[in-house]
Amino acid sequence: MIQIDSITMRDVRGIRDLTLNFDQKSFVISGPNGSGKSGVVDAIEFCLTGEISRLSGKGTAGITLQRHGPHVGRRDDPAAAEVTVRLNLLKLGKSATITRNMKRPRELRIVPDEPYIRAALVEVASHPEVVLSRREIIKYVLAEAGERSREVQALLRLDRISQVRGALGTVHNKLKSASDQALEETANALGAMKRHLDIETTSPENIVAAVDARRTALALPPIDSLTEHTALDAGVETGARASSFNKDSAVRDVDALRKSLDTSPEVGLDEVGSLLDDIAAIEADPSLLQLVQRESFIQTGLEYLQTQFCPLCDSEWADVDSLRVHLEEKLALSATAGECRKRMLNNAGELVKAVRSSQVLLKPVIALAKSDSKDDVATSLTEWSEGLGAFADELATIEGVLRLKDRLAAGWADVPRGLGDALDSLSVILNAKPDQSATVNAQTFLTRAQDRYSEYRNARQAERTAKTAQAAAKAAYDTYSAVSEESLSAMYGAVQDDFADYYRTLNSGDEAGFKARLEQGAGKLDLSVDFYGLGMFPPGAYHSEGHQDGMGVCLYLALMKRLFGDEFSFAVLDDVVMSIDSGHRKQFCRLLREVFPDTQFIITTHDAIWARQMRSEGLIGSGASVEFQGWSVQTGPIFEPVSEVWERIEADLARNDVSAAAGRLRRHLEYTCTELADLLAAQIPFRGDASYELGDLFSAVVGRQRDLLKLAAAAANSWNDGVAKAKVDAMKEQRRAALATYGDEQWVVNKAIHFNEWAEFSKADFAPVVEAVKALLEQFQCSNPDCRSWMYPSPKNDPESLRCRCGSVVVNLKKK
Amino acid sequence: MAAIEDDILTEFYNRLGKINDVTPRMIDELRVVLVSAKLKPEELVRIFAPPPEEEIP
Repeated sequence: MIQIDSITMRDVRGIRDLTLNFDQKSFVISGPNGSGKSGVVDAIEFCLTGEISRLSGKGTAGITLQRHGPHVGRRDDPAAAEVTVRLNLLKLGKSATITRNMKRPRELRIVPDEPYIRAALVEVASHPEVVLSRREIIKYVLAEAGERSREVQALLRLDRISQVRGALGTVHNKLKSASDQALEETANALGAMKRHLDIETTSPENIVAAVDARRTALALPPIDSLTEHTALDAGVETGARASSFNKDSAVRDVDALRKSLDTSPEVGLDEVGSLLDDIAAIEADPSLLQLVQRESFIQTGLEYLQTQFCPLCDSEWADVDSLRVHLEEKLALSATAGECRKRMLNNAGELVKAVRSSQVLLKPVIALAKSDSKDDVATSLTEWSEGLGAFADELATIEGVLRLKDRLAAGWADVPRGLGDALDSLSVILNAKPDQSATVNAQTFLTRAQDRYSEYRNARQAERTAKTAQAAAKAAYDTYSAVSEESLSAMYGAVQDDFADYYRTLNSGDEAGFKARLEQGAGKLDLSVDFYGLGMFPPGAYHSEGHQDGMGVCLYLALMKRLFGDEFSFAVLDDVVMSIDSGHRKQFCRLLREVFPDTQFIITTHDAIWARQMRSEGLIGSGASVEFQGWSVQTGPIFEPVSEVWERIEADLARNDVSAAAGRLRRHLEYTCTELADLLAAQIPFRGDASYELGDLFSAVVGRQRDLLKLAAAAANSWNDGVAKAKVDAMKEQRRAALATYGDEQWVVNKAIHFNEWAEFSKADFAPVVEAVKALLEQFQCSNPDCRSWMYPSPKNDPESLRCRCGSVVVNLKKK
Repeated sequence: MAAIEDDILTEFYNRLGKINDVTPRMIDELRVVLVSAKLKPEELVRIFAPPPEEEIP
């Protein structure tokens, strides 16, 4: 994964032209609502993935990236909107600069454009989840179990596992149907063989007895046993084999068909009755028909689903998974219709079996009719057989069954008129044929017996093959299901433990015994949490909204750890920590700092105090923050980089723009005094709204510095440390001089800065004020030009030393 | 997250290898089909129920 060095945004969302340097470190962006913080988040997401999730999904109808991604002033010129990110690809150990333009969001310009870097960035682009907004955290915690399962599966890239499982299940079902059909065909072949052999049961002894009786008549050696190589007609002369007509067998075939005509009205009566009931119910309730049809339609769509284009209507979706979820939700809506559909197809399947049996009986009789020149009978039988085939084909779908209503009501067999008489006449013709000689009878019996025995053997072989295939497919499906369930259970167990662990860290003061349970079911993922040892409940049952938000962040972090492992190096938390109260912020900082020490977090918050706390708790380093003070359409976020403030004030004065310089100086003093008050632990009368006057802050900061230097002097004296004493004296002198100069300009300072009465001042009046404030602030800073950090007492509440970040300043505060 | 998918497939093939109904050929072919971009059920059907000529030794 990556870490970001810097980002430059031009005309993207609320940003006009802005560069932020993250230096691959965690960074906080603070500012009031509407100051442009989320614009930075959108720009990061856009550059990494080519999309802005805020502009897609529910509630964004009519909003498009190209139209609404650019700054509002550039909404007709998407080419003007561009983001450049300089980042480090940690795994490759390479840096790259990537640029994405809103006009062609799919195109990524990369420098250097090496194939392996591009491949790594494609991987990065597939992870939009590195950006977490507040509205997203709740979906992990409060979502329905089915929705949570989908969200988590999508996040953890588990959807492929479901796809494989689904495909193996589909294949198993298909092969089971094929195996059932093969079994049916074996039964039909067996029936035909039994009929020819004229035996009641098909034991090997009965078959051998029937065959040997004819073989004996032909003076052929008997068959001792049936094996796979047994030829029932072995020894029958080749010429005799040319004719397989056997009068007795032929008569039995015709009789069997004739009997089936007599019994056909009784076959499948229950199934037909049930089908007619369902058809009537559907006709009485058009909505049921619609649901049944849609169920079938959607089922078909799901079977053909391969891409983000709907196979039913060709609409394009964001991705194939969203489309699958949509279709599955529609299927779930028609549960009653689904039961109706299933029952109808089962009954239809039973009728198909009856049809196939009839067709098996028809086949030899059609051949007999043709051989005896009974063309009209042959044609009638052939047409009936074909009609039955078409009938069976119709029974394969609900729509087909509905079309068959009249035929089902009238008798599904639809025996051709006069067919019974035709068969009777065929029987008469057959019976009128001269009896075959014993020799011919035996020869043709054996020849036909071999044919039917072969057909039966082939059918059995096909059945065995189908059963083997079905068994293998079932084994694959069952095994994959078992393995994936075991793996996912173990994985969810690990996520559950991490989640509970993080939440306990976050709430160590009041929920140290917190437990959680993440349970995987069929298509759902249940989350239950402990509530102060009183039981396990859904997260939304008793916990406050703030606690739920905390759970959302913790679950997100646990999932990200699972997703990326040691490569979880970057995440953007967009105002997701807003509802964590002040009592838990320290623990939150500790959680991110200690559990994810190598992860770069870009955090936005509208709470300036919270942003400061992240710095004081060491989550955010020196200089790794920016505070937006406001926003305008023309400028985008308004803020003053500390490093540039003096140059800008100088430029204001050069233009003789005293009001701009004074405003800038006031904002800088407000910001700086707030920072210093926090760092120095200055004592200020508490205000419930945390809105402190600059004068109060300024006095408290200057006073705290005085006290700290007093402590330093007393400590140096007690240790009789001449070097330290001299250093403290120098600091006190610098402070005295700065305050004196500042005091000389106090009349201007008060009016121009504290009271905003700048209009009456000239550049000559104001320039000395700037210098006085600058000198005053500088004596709070380390003089090392590479450091320039504010000096601060350490530890904060019971200080032992006054120091800077680089270590150039270390002044002892503890007396001997 | 490819790791968990890969782990599942590895264990899947391992367990399939011990099942009599599943032949080494089937496992070899599953290794190819199950990692292809698009899962085609007809490909899987062919693996478990190959055309008859493929069964001739």
